[in-house]
Amino acid sequence: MFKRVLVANRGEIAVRVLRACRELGLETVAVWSEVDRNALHVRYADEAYCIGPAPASESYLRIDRIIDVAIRAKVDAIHPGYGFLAENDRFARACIESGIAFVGPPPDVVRAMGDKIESRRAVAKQGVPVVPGTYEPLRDEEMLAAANQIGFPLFIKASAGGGGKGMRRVDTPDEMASSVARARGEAEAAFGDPTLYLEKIVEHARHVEFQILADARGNVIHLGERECSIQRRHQKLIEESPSVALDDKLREKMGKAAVAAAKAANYVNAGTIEFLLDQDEHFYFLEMNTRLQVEHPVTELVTGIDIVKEQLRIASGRLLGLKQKNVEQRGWAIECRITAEDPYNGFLPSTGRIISLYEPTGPGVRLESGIYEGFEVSLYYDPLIAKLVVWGPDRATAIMRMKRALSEYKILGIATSIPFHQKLFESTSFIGGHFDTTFLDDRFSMEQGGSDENEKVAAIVATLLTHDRRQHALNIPPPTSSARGGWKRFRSWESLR
Amino acid sequence: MKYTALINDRSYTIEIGTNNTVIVNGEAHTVDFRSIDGVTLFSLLMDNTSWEVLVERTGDEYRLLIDGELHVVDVQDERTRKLAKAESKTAVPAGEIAVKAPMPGLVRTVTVNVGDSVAAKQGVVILEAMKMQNELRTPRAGVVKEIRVKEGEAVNQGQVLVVIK
Repeated sequence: MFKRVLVANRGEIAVRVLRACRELGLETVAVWSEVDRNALHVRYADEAYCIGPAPASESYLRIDRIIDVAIRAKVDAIHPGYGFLAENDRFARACIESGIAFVGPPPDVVRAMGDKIESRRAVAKQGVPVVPGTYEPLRDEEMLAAANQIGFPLFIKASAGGGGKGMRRVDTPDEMASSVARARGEAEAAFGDPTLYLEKIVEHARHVEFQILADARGNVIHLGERECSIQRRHQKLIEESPSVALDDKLREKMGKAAVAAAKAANYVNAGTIEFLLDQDEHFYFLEMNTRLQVEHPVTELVTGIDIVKEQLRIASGRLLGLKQKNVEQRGWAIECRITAEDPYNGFLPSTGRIISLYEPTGPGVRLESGIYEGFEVSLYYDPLIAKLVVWGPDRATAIMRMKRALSEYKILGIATSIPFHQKLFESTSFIGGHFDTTFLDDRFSMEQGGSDENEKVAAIVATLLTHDRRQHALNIPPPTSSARGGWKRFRSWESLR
Repeated sequence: MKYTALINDRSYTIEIGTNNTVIVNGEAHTVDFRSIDGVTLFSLLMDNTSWEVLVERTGDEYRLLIDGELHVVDVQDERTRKLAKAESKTAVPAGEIAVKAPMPGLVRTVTVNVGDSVAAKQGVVILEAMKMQNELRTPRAGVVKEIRVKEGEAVNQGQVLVVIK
């Protein structure tokens, strides 16, 4: 096993990886940008090095600076977390060339799976069903003919893409030309690669993915599925394991396909095979993520397997200690992504200082968080600030537990997605398990208001606050004594702002 | 003191009495109201029922979160109520309205031109912040009078981007 690990990331995922290292008795090294000096991961690690200014392109994406720190700090492995350099084959190669293990698959595998056209080809060759579409890079003049063959509606996707970027829906042939032009522009700008492919839209599909573990000897197992259909504009917001859409038979079938896909890629370490599952239980390979996923904790909670520790063990050259028959899914886990976005204002990013923080605890609750009281949420990085994950013996218990935990969770100073989750967990469609990837965008809205009782309380509270402001405007100086009774006793919140 | 709290189309007449009572539409309640963090979080015991409320205020408008529900309340007392009534008689229909940047960011695209007619809630500017592109919409219909930013321009929070008349 390694002795010293550098975590090339920030926020909740950096803390998550550092925790695994600490539990394995490994020394830890963090890197930070100038705005992250006080961040949790910097304080948590044994050593921490500044790697540049706030913009990610000048710090967390600087391969040269991170490798330089790794050499100076004498680490023997680098864990990239997710995002930033996690799926960058040049980074993986730079680590290895510096004699440092990259906690992830070999650089060639990262590159091959990052090229969506190549990954579609490799996986299809193994007989795994792939979303119908094209398998070669297409020139502009070839697009329409290919599209007509596949049928509308379809997606134009960037071969270097992922996570919904550089992706366009096309409903009719006459939209093709302009959409292709715009998609090329986006792909070039976002990934520096204008290569596009076409993919048929699988209507009313669920997004179901399988967690893979593979060692360097070619042993591959899966840790079951994650249901990730609750998405807003292709961004996942809630994930659960298992999925209500799978029975044991389908699970076994999809699990086998996932293992075959990973083998086709010569995969090593932890990875994820994403599938679309239609209403008739047909499933199609979508893409492979060659990194630790944001939503990995739900799998950990139902299988009892620490995926980050497994990643470190595999990267250090150990063989899988687990066999497929020993992997068991127990109970139900759900994760809510807590983002610094205002669900009542079109999910606009919200920035500012966290003034107070009340975090949920208690039975079955796991919180992966990168924030603290006084933390400044800036515009520089991803709005994901924490993940609230719960476990229960069954889905109904897990849902009730999540509602309980959400009501305990108070992040003051910025707007967060917590109210969105609270509303979603009231939705009968969600509770009943009746949803697909279009559910949030098409059949859910964040309306103001709600129950009459809450409305009445809101009216009373606003009136009490108004009354208090009026009293303070009249009485100078404002009272500081706490000897007065009742609601008059609280000090003007105004004066404390 | 008597107040009127307006939520959507509903109004509540609320009188603040003595001995920690409030009278809501004629019904008396005992209240014990405390600030927890001095800023945003409040605890209300109303007839011994416990409520936690997150509050944000802009001007006379309160935005309250209870169980994830957003309730927007406008509170008027007798004086401001009379004032508002008088104003509504003489006020001209609202004139220009500004679409402002809700946060600092980078203007990606301006999707309208000067002179365009826009519908309520139509997107006018795409602002990039935190890796995300955010569509900013006009709150009501009108005609684009002025565009004050260029694509690629960095803007501050509250900066006027587009003026609708």
